[in-house]
Amino acid sequence: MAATKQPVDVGVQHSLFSGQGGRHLREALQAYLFLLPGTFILFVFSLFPIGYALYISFHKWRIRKGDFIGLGNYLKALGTPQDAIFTLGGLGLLAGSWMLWRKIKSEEPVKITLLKALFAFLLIVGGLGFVLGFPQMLVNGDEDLFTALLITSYYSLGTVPFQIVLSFLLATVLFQNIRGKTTWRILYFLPYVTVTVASAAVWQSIYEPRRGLLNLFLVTLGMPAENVPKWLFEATPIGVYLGDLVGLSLPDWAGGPSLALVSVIIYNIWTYVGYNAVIYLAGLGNIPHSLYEAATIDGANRWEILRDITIPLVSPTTYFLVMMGVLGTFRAFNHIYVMTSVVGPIGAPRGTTMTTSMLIWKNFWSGNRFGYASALAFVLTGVLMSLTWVQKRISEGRVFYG
Amino acid sequence: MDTRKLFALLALMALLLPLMSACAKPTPEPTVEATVEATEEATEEATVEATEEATEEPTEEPAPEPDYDTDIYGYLEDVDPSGQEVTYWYQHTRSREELMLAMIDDFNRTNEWGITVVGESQGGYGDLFQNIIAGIPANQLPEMAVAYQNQAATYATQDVLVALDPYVASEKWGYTQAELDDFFPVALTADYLPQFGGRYGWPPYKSMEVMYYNEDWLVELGYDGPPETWEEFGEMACAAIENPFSGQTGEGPVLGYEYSVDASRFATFVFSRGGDIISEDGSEYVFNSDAGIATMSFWQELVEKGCAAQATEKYGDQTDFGNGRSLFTVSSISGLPYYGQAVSEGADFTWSVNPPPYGSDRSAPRMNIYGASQSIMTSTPEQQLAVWVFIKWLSEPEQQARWATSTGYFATRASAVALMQDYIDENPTYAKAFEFMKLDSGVESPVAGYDECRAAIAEMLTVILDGGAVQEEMDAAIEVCNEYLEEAAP
Repeated sequence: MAATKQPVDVGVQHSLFSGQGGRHLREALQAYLFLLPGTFILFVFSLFPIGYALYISFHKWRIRKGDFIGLGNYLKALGTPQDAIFTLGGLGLLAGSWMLWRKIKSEEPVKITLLKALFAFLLIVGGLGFVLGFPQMLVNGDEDLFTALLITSYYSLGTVPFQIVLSFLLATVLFQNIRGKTTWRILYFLPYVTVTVASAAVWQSIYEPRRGLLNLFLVTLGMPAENVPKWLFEATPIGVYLGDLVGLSLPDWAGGPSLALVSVIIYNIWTYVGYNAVIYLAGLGNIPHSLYEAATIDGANRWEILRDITIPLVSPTTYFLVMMGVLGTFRAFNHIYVMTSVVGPIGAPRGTTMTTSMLIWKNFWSGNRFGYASALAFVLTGVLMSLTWVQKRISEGRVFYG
Repeated sequence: MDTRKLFALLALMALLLPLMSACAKPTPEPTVEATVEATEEATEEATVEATEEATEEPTEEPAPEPDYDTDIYGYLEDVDPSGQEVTYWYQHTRSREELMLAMIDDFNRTNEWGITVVGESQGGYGDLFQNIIAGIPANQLPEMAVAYQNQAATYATQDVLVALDPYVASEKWGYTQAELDDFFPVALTADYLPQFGGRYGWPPYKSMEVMYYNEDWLVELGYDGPPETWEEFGEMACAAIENPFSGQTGEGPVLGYEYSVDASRFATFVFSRGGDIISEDGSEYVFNSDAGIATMSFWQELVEKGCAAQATEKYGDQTDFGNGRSLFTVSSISGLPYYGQAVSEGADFTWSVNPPPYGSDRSAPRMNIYGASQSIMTSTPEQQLAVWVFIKWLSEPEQQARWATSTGYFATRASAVALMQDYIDENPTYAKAFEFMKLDSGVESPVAGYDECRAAIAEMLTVILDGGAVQEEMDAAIEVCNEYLEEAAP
């Protein structure tokens, strides 16, 4: 019996994997088999936790799962459904109008009038929706969330541009044939590879108001001991603080981030400048030398070479570093937590270092509000995705890939 | 193309199947329910046997039904803890952990039931709390844990803690009235949780907030003793910054009072003025009372005058006190050895402790006596009983004396004092502080949600001490705390 069945099986196998279709099938099978382990890991360790966090965010979840509350946690964060629809819908329409405006330029004249009308419609409706919804969202939503987003924006804006400029300058210097080039590169890269908690703790002691190295240095320079900055303990906005020093009075709202947050920003710049410089060095190395030679022959000076050749040709690196920098600053937690832990409760002083990540942590661990913290995490994810999209759109036509 | 889609679908299904099975309702583990069944079976068997015996001996009266839940505890007089292994999570590290492990080893070797306790340090109090919170949904909990009363209340809201009253009252396993009378009343009061109407912790040791003061500096300032009232405290603290201590060492400014931002410190000051943090029934926070307002107004004024300042590094208050740069600090008595070390390594002066000053409308101090207790997590009746046996052993006068003389904590039984006489004679500061156990005391909020409220209080302190409006900030903190209280309530 077995001997009679065997040829039949072979025949089936033969028909399935033979010929053009069979070969494609075999290749597809092999491909999916190779993909299977990676896909499995992706599901288990990435997608499943994200899905589970989303599931948690739809529940009243305090330590254990409670009632299903749908979008309750999201509405607690963002205000009433109307506020959310008006604000988010308005932003969506504004984004749509922006994309349309970029498209109009390349369209035929016949279509332009129609598209312009559509653009105007989207702009007006989107703008109106946002203007009507956002103030109400601020009133009805979680004030802590909006404050945290503002603080995070300060943190990001205070960090990324300085990191980019300093690291580019540093890379430009390190790219020259200077003595001990490799040693300098290693030295500047060291802060990045140092354990964050350890380096943050060291910086915390440097900033210590009474015995910290920084203030001892300022006193050595002649600053009266009673006037030295309190750094991480100073909740006063930096603008107000500096204004006071020169006799200028600024309102708190116009003062920007607190001196405490600025102290953390300085630490973060120190950490990433070396890393960014190394990435820039790779970008600089990819610029063909012939371009510099041609420019020199044409009589371009150093500034013109930098402006017209170097900066445009490292723009992909700049775009990458800006994107990673913004994402990193919006997710920053460890060093802020370590540096400010001695000052007081999380977000101290006076909540001025309460970035969105810190707020999520506070709600999750300090408040045991697992459901709400998960919802906040998804709100932050939405913000990050929007920012990435905006950056991508802004960079289009500005990043030169050679 | 279609074939590819087919295989993509098959691959997806293959991936999702294990996930779906993981998400499926797990087979119930034979833990509590199985125990209940086993207990019920055992009870039935015992009942049958008892009935048979009763038939044989009709004069014997049936045992009264216990007033506790036998599904949770079993029939305590019949439960046998022999051979049980239990895990114990605590916050001790370094020398204290070594001592605890040595004590556990002694218990494991000497207990007559062959109970084995496995001690596991979880880091600090915060780490321990977080690990338990994370372990609750994952069902990965120890059988025993150290917990502050409010933390115990949080665990109790999740039904992972058992009340200890049946064990305490058990004829076979509990305490006699004489033994209970041996405990300091303040120690036993704290573990009663008003939200649950029961006792969820047992206190083998306690701590308290005391005022540390530089005796030599006070003499230099012309005072013949530490301050008794807050007015005197303020006067001395401000006098100190004008007249630095002659023996000061190290770097930094001169301070009258150096503080760290902490909810327990605030509670200490409110208690000392006759106020409370939470109402007696635990239904609402009341720290924005007159006592609370007076506390914060006074404290804020001290800071504004420059007579008090926040510690700017971890344990900075200890360091500055030891260097003779701050006249007063208020902190836990468990820091006594560390203060001693800081002084001997610093300015090496005469120092001591006293109860925190009290409000001018009072005639005696009121302490903040607190401390984490030992709690029993829900497991089987046998394991729970094994934990109780260990807790009771830890609470024996001999063990209390051993722990207290090595750590600086206070024993909670009067009979332990006699066993500590040598230590007390050698450590007059400790001996003095021990007397404070007999003073009136407030109780920090033994309710679920107090941990969250502590963060709100700490935030309130930083804002007010930075010049914020006292009443407004306290009202705002009360609102946040009451919100947490309501949210965390059982």
